[in-house]
Amino acid sequence: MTITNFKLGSSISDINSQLSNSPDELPLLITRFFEEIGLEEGTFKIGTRDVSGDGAWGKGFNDSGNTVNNLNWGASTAVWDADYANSPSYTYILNPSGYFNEHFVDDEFIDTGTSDCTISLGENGSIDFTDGEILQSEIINKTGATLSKATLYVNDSVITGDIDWYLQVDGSNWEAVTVGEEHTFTNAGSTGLKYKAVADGVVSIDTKYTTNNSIIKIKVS
Amino acid sequence: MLLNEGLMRVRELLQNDISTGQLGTSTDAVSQAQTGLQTAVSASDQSVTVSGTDKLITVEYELDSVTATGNTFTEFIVENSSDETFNRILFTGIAHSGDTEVHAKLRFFIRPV
Repeated sequence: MTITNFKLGSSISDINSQLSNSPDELPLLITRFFEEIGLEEGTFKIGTRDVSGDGAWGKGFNDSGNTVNNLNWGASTAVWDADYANSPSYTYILNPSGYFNEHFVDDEFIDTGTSDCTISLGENGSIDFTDGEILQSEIINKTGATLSKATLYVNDSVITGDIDWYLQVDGSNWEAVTVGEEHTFTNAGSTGLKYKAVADGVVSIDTKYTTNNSIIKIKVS
Repeated sequence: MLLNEGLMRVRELLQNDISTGQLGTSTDAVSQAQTGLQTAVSASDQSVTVSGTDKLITVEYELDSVTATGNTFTEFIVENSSDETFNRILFTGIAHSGDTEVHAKLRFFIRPV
């Protein structure tokens, strides 16, 4: 029996109907369809945090919210800092097989201080731009080596509107890229890879939880 | 089809199983048949903080400034409480001195294929 125009996702009764109610065919067919769950290994960051106490971040006395380390013992304005004020500095930011995948489940890799679009992540989230607004990432790939080529892929099915895309690897120069085409950097560098999206008109990126595939994927080569 | 609720359950099972992270000093290439670090630094075996949101799992590892110092770490793994290893990652080298903590952060994502 030849099966044509078969509809995936049909109920079993619908499938049976499409098979002309042939009970011998149905079990065989069902065993050929299964669903898989994938485990995607994501970005790995590793680095150090300076806890030497020889900087302004040292664990110790804090002057009413301003972390300092020059207060005298018993000073009236001094309160105890329970933790170091400085953050870890990540030496390496690595992606399996060189692929960074952004699902926008959280803002771990979004430069929220620089991005001026409206970012509302979560179960029904979206990222909304007016004309000229930007979404900029933190460093998403840093191997210690010079990065010279990268390819940006975008899941168009969740984006409405037009975006101009840029990549940077030297810490200062943004270079315009074409989605899906390998870009060779004029300004290669080892500072780390970032992306920037600039809205050309009104743009919305649907980031809600039902999005299973990554929305932005960047391959370093 | 696989529902989001089912995927979340898989995420929770994995999230609850991840227990520790550990560093090592080998530069041997990663292969799928490996079962752990190639040159483990046993003192670096530390509990990790694991959090989950939607289909995302985030694992955070921290090694204080007085433990396993003097090493230059080049490999990292995440394990469960039975020392079964989820993954192994190689990097060029992190020197660990008494002036620094080592911090690592790793993400996993669950999704239908």
